[in-house]
Amino acid sequence: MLDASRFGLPVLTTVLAVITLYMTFFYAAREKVMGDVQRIFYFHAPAGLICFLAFFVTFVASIAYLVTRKKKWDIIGQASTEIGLVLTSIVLVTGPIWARPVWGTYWTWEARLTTTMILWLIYMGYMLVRRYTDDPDQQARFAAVIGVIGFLDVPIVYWSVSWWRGHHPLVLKVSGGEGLEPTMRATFMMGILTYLALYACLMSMRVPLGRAEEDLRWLRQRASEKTSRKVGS
Amino acid sequence: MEQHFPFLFWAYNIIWFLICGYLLTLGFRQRRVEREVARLKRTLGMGGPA
Repeated sequence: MLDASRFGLPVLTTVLAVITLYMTFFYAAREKVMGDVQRIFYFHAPAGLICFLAFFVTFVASIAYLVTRKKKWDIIGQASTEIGLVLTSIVLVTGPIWARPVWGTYWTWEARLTTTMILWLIYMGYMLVRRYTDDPDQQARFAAVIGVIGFLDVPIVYWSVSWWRGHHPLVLKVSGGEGLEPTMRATFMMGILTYLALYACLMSMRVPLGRAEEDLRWLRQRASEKTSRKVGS
Repeated sequence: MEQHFPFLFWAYNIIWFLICGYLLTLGFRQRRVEREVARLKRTLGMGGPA
């Protein structure tokens, strides 16, 4: 019999992804100016929103770790950062692919693009800082500090379009405009739901892996102590 | 109005590539950790970490 707790989230994510793909290509209206290339938006923008959620979880877990020094918070923060980086990578790759036919260039140092690139670099730093020391507590502490400070970039990315008035389109709020057409809005919402399920699904896989890696670290330490005792005697 | 289907095609393929790549990495890491934990438990002659 299928284990619902193990297969439930992957099945739900797959079903939602299929529905979103169907809606993206067959249900959502074709954008009048950009044409079909605008359909990239239904997987690009929701990935951006859910990466904010992932980094918010990292932010909360980092604060919780710094306050309690409990390893579980570090494991959650690390898992959420890794998934957030995958989602930010999707944003950073699909954005330029959309921009090439629409703006005529893959990349421009426009506010939203630049701050998103900085966000990606900050959280890469969160992952890489762990390699600079062998002490696990120090690794977790350094990463948690980046997890807290790095989150400051998230509201900057979100409001960068309004603050600096770049080329990037406003997605959620179009001041004085009509906003998204109903079929586009429904597809966009389904995209958000799909990425939310994907995030939950990946967290349900990555957190146990983090715990297993922690057990492995503990066992290695025990094995090394045992070897030292043998050599000493 | 040009449709730019190659851009759409590559954008969606890259998304799948990134997600599947990450899932594969998780699978490899999980198997490597499980193997190493089992080996160390045998070496230490124990049931599991406290």
